[in-house]
This record gives sequence, structure tokens and C-alpha cells, in this order.
Amino acid sequence: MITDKLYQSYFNYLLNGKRYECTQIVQELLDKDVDIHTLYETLFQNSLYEVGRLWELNKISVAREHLATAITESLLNLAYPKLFEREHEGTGKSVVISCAANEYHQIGGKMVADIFELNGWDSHFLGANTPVDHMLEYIQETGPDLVCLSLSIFFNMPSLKSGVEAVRSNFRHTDILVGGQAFKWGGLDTIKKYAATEYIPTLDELEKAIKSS
Amino acid sequence: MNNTPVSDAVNSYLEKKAPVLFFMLDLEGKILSANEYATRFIGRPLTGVRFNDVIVDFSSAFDLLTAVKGPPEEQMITVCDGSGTPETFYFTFKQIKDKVLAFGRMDADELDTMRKEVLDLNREQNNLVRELHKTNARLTQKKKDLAQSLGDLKAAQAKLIESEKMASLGRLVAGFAHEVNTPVGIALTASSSILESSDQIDRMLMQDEVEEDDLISALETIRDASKLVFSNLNRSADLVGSFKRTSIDQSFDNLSVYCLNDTIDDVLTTMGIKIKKASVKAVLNSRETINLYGNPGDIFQVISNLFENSLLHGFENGRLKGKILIDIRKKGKEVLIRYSDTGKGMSGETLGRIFEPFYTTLRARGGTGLGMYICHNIVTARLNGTIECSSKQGEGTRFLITIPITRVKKHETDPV
Repeated sequence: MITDKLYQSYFNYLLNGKRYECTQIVQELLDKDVDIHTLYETLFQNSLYEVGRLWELNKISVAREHLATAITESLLNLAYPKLFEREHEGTGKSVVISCAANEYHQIGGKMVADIFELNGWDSHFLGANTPVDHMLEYIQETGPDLVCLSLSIFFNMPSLKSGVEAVRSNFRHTDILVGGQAFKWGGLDTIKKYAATEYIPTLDELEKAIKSS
Repeated sequence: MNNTPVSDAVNSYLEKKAPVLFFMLDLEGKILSANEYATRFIGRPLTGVRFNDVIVDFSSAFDLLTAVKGPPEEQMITVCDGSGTPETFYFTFKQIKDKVLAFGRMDADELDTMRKEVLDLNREQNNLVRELHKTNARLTQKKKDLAQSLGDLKAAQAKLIESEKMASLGRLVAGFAHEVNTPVGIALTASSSILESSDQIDRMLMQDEVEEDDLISALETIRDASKLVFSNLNRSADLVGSFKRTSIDQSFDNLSVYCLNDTIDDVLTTMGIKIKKASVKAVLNSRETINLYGNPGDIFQVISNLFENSLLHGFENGRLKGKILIDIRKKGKEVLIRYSDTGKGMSGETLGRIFEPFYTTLRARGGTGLGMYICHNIVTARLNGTIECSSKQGEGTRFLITIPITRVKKHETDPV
């Protein structure tokens, strides 16, 4: 359903800040009952990875990257009526997803939360730049089966590490998943040191992990 | 600036690309020239235009000469872009001979702070939208589940009501059997007496001589017994007739013209023993014969249930004595049935819930709480009428049933 030509056209609109055109493409796909996971991975994830890559190469400005992200985030809203509509009973499991403190890129974490919802989990998405004490308080309040921490900028790895340590020491029996573009540059060795803490590289891998849990 | 390569480059940048506003004005405030950004930003040719017509100055307080001669501070001035969107610039004014140079800059720090705030707000708004969709989906699911539960509950309720109707019919049959048993028993005893007297006469006739007194006595016995048989069989026939009417009417949608007075009389007849046993006096008061078109079984069931309720609750199943009065009359296009008992009445809570299904004060003694609900249903749904109840503890209970007679076929019933 999402051809290379369609993707290219969407990507060009996204890069040029044409949100109405992007909305039109996504809405048409939703009207054709596109699979949400495919939409997320093929259109949203790939285009944002490419936007990130262009920014890293200094081909586009931070402002343009922010605009592309904001547009994509608004497009997620279009998918929600379908995403949250459950035909079957949920799994009864819940997950708290948070971005590390000082991490302002939240869209990856939000997509992770949505993939959990698609698989019948109850997701609690805490958003960007969540202070560790707020996250701990929320975990205490909701008692999730799993905590996911998202990191996009490698520079913020110490914040993620603090977050993992705090969850690990306060909630010994809660599993932790980490992920995000920051791990392209390293950090896996740090994560491996913590018990019941795993790195998930892609949405596909995440879905496999959810299904096998 | 001297014309060095560096200053040329800076001048060219300021002139053509820098996001700042440069105006060269005459002392009257007329724009003599503007940099490219200013022309592009404001979106129209500026040469010859008054500076005061370019800026947004609500109180017309801006005065160029005051700005030039005043302290060398930046002045916050708003300028609208080509689409009419206002943007704030910080201007300095400097007089150069007979001209004024106006230079306006945006506050980059402020813009950057605002940009970050807007991004934060946008993220938060998107997160709220996500929560909203999630909550909405959960509520929709709950609504569906509730609708399903409500459907199941209604089906179970309908089943229970149907069972109660059947049980009510069963009680009616049992009451009828009990009622008809008395005259049939009397008739049976009387007929055996007739048989015995007949045998006695036979024996007398076989003898040579018959005592006249004996014969007369036997014949008198036969006559008296026959009268008893006749009257009691008549009573039985009446009961059977009444029951037949009721049972047929309950089983089928047997629409016909019927006499309301007779139908209520049938209830009194059918419940006669129960009423007597309870030491309750029941009176039907009607000034006129009222014929209605419909199903007499409906009225029969409503009045029977009211009686049952009065006897069981109002008169505590025979413990209290009292009266039940039924008054029927026509008023305009309606028939009014006023039913009242002098029983113990009911509390405000019971009164408020009297037509509620499954509400009963006697659940421990087998009450289903459906009797009055069925009455309400029959009156409102089948008879298109209303039923109201009033009660005072210690004084009794009253029902007012109002039935429209618009369905009555005029040629077959009393004129309305």
C-alpha cells in the first residue's frame, strides 16, 4: 500500500513543511485501512530517520527537523481513533514509557507506546524530558509490568543511565526496555550491566518481544 | 563603514539578507529607502510611504523627532508583515544630517525561548490528544459493554415477567378451583341427598301402603336438594364463565367490546373467598354501565393485582380488617378507575418505588416485586393510560387509573 513513490512524495512534503499534503496522504492510507504498524514503520519511522540523518549531515536545520517532527506527531493523532479501538479484550498488562530527563525528542517513545496499545497493553506515555522523580512516582502509582525508556540524542546517555539505575533500585522486579536513535552511537555496554534491562533496536523487534512475552 | 572587502560583504548582507529592518527617512518621517528584508517583510514598495503608516501605533504616540532627540535607547515598535501578522522589532533612530536612519532588530533570545516554549506546548498538546483518544476509545468500549449488559438484563427481566405472568395465571387457576369446589361440593352432597330420597320413594312404592307424611317429606327433601343443586351449579357455571372469559382473554389478543363493570365484578367473584377470608369488604361503585373496546383480560389482571396487593400488604394477609372500594366513571374521553383500600398504607420510599420492577417489601416471603410493575406496564403500554398511586401510612392506599377511550369503536360502545 505504501509504495516507494508514495513514500518519496510524503517525505518531500514533510521536509518542506507541507503538513496539509502529508495529512492528506496519511488520511487516505487510513481510509484504505492501512495496517498501523506498517504506517508507523514505513512512513513515519523511515522518514524521521532520514530527517535525522540529514540534520546530522548539516543538510537541514534544527528548525526544519523540529517542524518535520511536529508534523509527524500531529499525524499520529490521525491514527488514534483506529489504534485505540480494541476489538478484543486487552492483555491486562501495562507499561510506562518515558523519555530520559533532558531528552526532548519524544516521538519515538510515543510510537513505542502505540505499538504496545496495538498489542493489547495499557500504555502510559509520560512524554519528553521527564524528571526521574516524576517517573518513579508514576511507576509507584500505576505498578506497570514494564518500563520503557527512550533516548534519541547520545549526548543525553548519562540521563538515561540515571533513569535506568533509579528504576532498577526502586523496582527490582520490573523489567526495563531501552531504545532510540542514540544507541546508534553506542551505550549498549552501559545497558548490559543492569539486570532485566534490554535494548530493543526497532519497532519490529519490539513487536516480536511483546508477542513472545 | 570604509569600503573594504569585509565591509562590502557586511553591507551587502545587511542590505540584502539580514532579518533586520533598515529605513532611511527624511525629517518628516517619509521613507526614502529601505533594505531588501524590510521590503520583503512588509510586502509592498516602501519608498515615499510615511514611517508612521508602516508601524502599528494604536495611540498615535510615535513622534520621529522625539525618538531621534531622546535618549539613545531601543524602542519597541510593532510592524505588520505582508499577511498582516504583527511582529515586534527593537528600533534605534539616528540623525545623519537631514536624514534619519531607523534600524529595527528582532530579539533573537526572546524568539528562541518562545520557539522552545511553543515546541513544548505542541508536544504536550499532542500527548493530551493521545490521552483523549485513548480515554474516548475506552469509554466507547465501556458504553458497548454496558449496552450489552443492559440488553441481557432486559432479556432476563422479560423472561422473569413472563414467568410471573404464568405464575399469576397459575394462582388464578388455583383460586378458581378453590372457588368452584364449594358449590360443586354442595351440589354433590345435595344430589346424593336426592338420590337417597329417590331410593326412599322407590322403596315406599314397593310397599302396599305408603305413609303420606313420609312421601311428602322425601319429596320435600328432593325439592330442597334440587334447589341447592340448581343454585350451586348456576354459581359454578357463573364461575366457569368468568374464568373462561379471563383465561381466553389472557391467552389471546381477543379484542372485543366488553363491559368494564362486569369485568371488575368477575374479579370480585374470582377473588371472593380470599376477600371474605381476609375479613375485607369489597365494593364496586358505578353509576353507569361502561362498555369498552379492547381486551378485558388487561383490566382483569390489573384489578386482580391491586386486590392481591391490598390483601397481602395493606391488610397484612388477613390480620387487619377493612374495605376496598372501586369507583368507575367516565370523564370526557377517559375512563377513571379509582381504587382505594383502608389498609395500613406504605412508606414514602415504598411509594416512590412501587412501580419499579423487582421492588418488594416481602422478598423473604416469596414476593417477586413484579405485580405492580406489570400493572403499570399494562396500563401505560397496552391501555395507553396512566396509573398513579398515593398513600399515607395508617390511612390506606389509593390508585387512580385513567384510560383513554379513543380506541373505542363508537358504534359498538357508549358515545364518548
